[in-house]
Order: sequence, then C-alpha cells, then structure tokens
Amino acid sequence: MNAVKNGHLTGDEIARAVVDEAELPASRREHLAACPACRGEKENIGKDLTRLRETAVRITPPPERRVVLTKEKDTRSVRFVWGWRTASGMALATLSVIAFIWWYAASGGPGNETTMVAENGYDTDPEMVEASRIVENPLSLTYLAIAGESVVEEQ
Amino acid sequence: MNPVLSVAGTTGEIINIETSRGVWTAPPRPGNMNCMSSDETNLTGSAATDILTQVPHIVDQARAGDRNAFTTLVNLFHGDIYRMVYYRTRSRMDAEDLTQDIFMKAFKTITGLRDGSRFKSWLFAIAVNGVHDFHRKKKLRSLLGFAGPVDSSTVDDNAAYEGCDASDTMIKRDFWKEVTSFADGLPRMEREVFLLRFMDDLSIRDITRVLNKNENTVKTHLYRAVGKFRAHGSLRHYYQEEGR
Repeated sequence: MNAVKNGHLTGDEIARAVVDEAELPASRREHLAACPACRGEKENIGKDLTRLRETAVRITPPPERRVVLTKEKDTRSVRFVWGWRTASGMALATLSVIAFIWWYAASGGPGNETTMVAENGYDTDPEMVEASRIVENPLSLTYLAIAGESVVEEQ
Repeated sequence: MNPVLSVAGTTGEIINIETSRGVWTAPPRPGNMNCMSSDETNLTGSAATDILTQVPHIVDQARAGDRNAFTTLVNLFHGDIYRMVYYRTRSRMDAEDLTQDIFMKAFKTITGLRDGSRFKSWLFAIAVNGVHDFHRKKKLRSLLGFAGPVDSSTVDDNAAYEGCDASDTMIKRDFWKEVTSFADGLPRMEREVFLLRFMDDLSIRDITRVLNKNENTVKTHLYRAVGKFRAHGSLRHYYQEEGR
C-alpha cells in the first residue's frame, strides 16, 4: 500500500511503462504493480495499440500482384558486348571519314571540276567573251575605234 | 532440424516447411479480394514460431544461390513488407510496386548479409529506405509540377474498396484518416519508430538495427510518441465505437 501512496504514475511514466516497464525506477515499478488504476491505464494503452495494429492489418487492401523474382542478367558481359560493338562501329565510321577526306583531296573534289568546266566555257562562248569585254570597257567597239583605243577587227 | 522446402512454380506459390511441430504450408497468395484483409501471410502459432527460428538457415541457403529458399523468404515476409509500405503510402499500387522493388533489391544484395538472424531487420531497413526514396521522388515530382491534381492514394482507395459496403468503406477511410492525422503530427523519427513498433510489430532491438540508432534513442522517441498517442483521443474513440 505504501507504493500506492507514493502517487500515481504520470502520463510520461505510463508511456515509459508501455514501451518498456524495466525503464521505470524500482519504486515506480512497485507502484505500478500495486496500483490498479495505473496498471489499468497502462493496459488500456497497450490494448489500444494492439487494436490499432490489428485494425490496420484487417482493413489493408490485399495485394493483387505477386513479387516476381526476375533473373538477374550478367551486366558485365552485356556491358562488354555493348562496348565492343560501339568501339567497332566508331572505328569504322572514323575510317570511312578519313577515307572520304583522302579521296576528296586526291581527286580535287567535284567542286574544282565544275570550276574548270565553267572556265572552259567562259573562254569559248562568244557571248561570254563579249560580256567580259564589256566589263572591262563598256563602250562599244565602234566608239573605241573612233577613239583610237581599239581596232574594229570585223568592220 | 533443417527445414524441408517444397516449392512449386517459379514464384513459389506453394510452400511446405517441415518443422518440429509438423508441416507448415504457406497460405495461398491473395488474388482480387478487395473487401478482404491482407493478413493471409501472417505467421501465427507454434509452427510459425518454428519457421521464424529457421529463417537464418533459409537465409543461408538463399545466400548460397538457392532461388527457392529466397522464394520462401518472399512468401514468409511478403505480407509484412507490403503492409509496412501500404501504411506509409496509403496506395495499393504504390505498395505493390515498392514491395516488388524491395524484394528484388534484397534478392540482389542478400550475399552481403552476414548474419541470417538479422534478415527481418535488414529487409525492413531496405523497405524504410525504399519508402523514403519514394516520398522524396514524389515530392520532387510535385515540385516540378509532374504530379497529377488528384492524390493517387484517394484514387487507389476507391479501387481497393470497390465492391465493399458503403458504410464499411467509410469506416475504413475514417480509420486511415485518423491514423494519418496522428502520424503526420509526429516528428519524423517519432513517427518512424512508432509505426515500426506498433504497426509493423518489430521489437525494439529490430528497430535499432533498421534505423541504425541506439536503444535509448529509439525508446525515447517511443515514449514521446506513445504519450502523444495517449493524448490523441479520436483514435481511441474509434476503437470504442468499433468494439460495440
């Protein structure tokens, strides 16, 4: 009865008793053992916590899917194959680029060929010859002849 | 005595484990039973206790590459992990996805587990980290505006309780609302230890391993959380209503 007279457990002590009764000092444990009110309070909280868990378990919707253990792939070999293929492809692409540049430089390139053809045409086409002459001197051949700057060949 | 495992199918639907008190058969995995509880895989009784004592041996077999042994572990702990995730996500689809990820991660890394007797706490540690990652990504998606306008758990609840009695559904929703209201009001560590101890039914020693905290720290957080639970009247009121 002395233990009961020591005073009821505080809320904090009740909480401690719920978690682990051994955490309470010996005198408070004695009180808890002897006092029906404190013991009842502790047991009620324990029951509430048990009901909380039981209710949660009961009303949790069940899973519809199972856990499937997929076979783990050997990522190292996959990585090696991927790396080997990539390296081969890149080497091939580099060689192709180098070969193309070499061929382009050796042949002079299609652009140069076009320029030469154009130049040939420039030299032989009468209209282009006339245009070139006009660029150099816009006066007609007649005026040039009068001015004594040029001889009119055909006239 | 070593357990005798008899597993059928690639995912191990049927399991018989011979114990000193007879053969324990794992219950069938749930299908679509929306109004039923998820406690089919709960381990109860003396046979279940025997199995739990044999978990270290099964873990050793799994570590040695025995796929069936790992399937046994999946069947033994699937319910615990699924519920643990569900309590924290409140979404069945998310819980299923995360449970799958957790077991796959465990499957890949089980060779790193040295002490088979710590399998449960090791598995729960993976689960706790998985759930934290999930919430972090969800928050990031929400910040970036990728999250939908409707809470996925609400939509999922509707699907999960489809076909249930309306009042029953209402009671379940109210319960989760109360639990969420209480848990969200706790600081992070208090919430975690409270859920692990009183919802997931882990021992204090297991919690110290899961959270990598010392026992006094765990107990202190538990005292505080229990004190707040005691003061939280609405949950207690719910039980009294339900008990009538």
